[in-house]
Amino acid sequence: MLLSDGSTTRHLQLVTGEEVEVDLITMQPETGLFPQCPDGVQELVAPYLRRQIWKRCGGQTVLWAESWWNQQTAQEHLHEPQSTIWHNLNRTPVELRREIDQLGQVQDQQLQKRFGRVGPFWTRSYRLFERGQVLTVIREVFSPALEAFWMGSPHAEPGER
Amino acid sequence: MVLCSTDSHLRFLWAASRRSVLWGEAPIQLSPAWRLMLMGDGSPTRHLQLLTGRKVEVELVGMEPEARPSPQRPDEVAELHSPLLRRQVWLCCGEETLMWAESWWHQQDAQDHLRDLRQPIWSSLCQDRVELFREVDGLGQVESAILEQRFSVSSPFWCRHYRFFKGGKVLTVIREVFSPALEAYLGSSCMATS
Repeated sequence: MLLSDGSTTRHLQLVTGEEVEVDLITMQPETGLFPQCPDGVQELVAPYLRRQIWKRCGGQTVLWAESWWNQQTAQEHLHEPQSTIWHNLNRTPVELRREIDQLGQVQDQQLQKRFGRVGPFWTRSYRLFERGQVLTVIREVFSPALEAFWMGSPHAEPGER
Repeated sequence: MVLCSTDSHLRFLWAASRRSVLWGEAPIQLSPAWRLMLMGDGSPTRHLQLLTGRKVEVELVGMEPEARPSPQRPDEVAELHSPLLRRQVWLCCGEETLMWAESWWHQQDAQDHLRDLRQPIWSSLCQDRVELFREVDGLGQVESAILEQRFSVSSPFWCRHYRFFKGGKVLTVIREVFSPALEAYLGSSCMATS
């Protein structure tokens, strides 16, 4: 799940057996980059756009994600901001390469609140390439709620709060 | 190189509808880890490497022009232009044979993309930083005496096929059959009923 080069949306759908739904948190221009940006963001051309979302499966929040774009590219590719990037890109099959760059664990109060679980949480970042250029840089944080889906009992209670 | 007796003589026990596979509707009995392996759009070579912690090695079984359509080849092969080439391999990690795979190519495309025949397709494409669209089209279970012999396990085996698109066209159609030995890494393919 974390190191695969497959699509996160498709994988979430396969693991949970549920449609993946998106709650758009924000999608706004960024004037500059900051130190916490995922690796590879420097390869994008300004002006930047940053999009943040929650992903839900069957009513449960399973993932938080942010993606960094060049504003023009985002406009061309994200026709439906309320849908996943995968659904946006799959409107016309887009040929891409996905390169996983970072894997780690993070601690964050907002994530803890929304996931209803205590951290740390698994996180990764990757770049999507189109025509040899970085199309977008994506960072994802996974909810431990996925463990229950993985074990085949999605409605199990959170282990720790 | 032409090595004969390459036919795996797959006998399909059942196959999921293309629509359900495209939409990611997994068979209910299939465990989540196996769903990712069989229906995910990631690279199986990368997945095998991640699971086993070992390098994936290819044993080339055959690579020859396909003059006549091989029996039971996926319908999607019809989307490729002739002349066709069919490549068959075993994928191994260490001592274990974990997968059998066959792929169909336009002969020129195969020549352009498979320069090192002993490498998995994914490794060849990665070296060239090729951008692709992978669409999983088929899923089912098969029986095959030849696979039973090599895997040292009795049938049935999980099987899938998918297409790689490049430049808006089908580059290759790949069929894979997975050894139940993968259960050591993925757990049982059958979901425990709760």
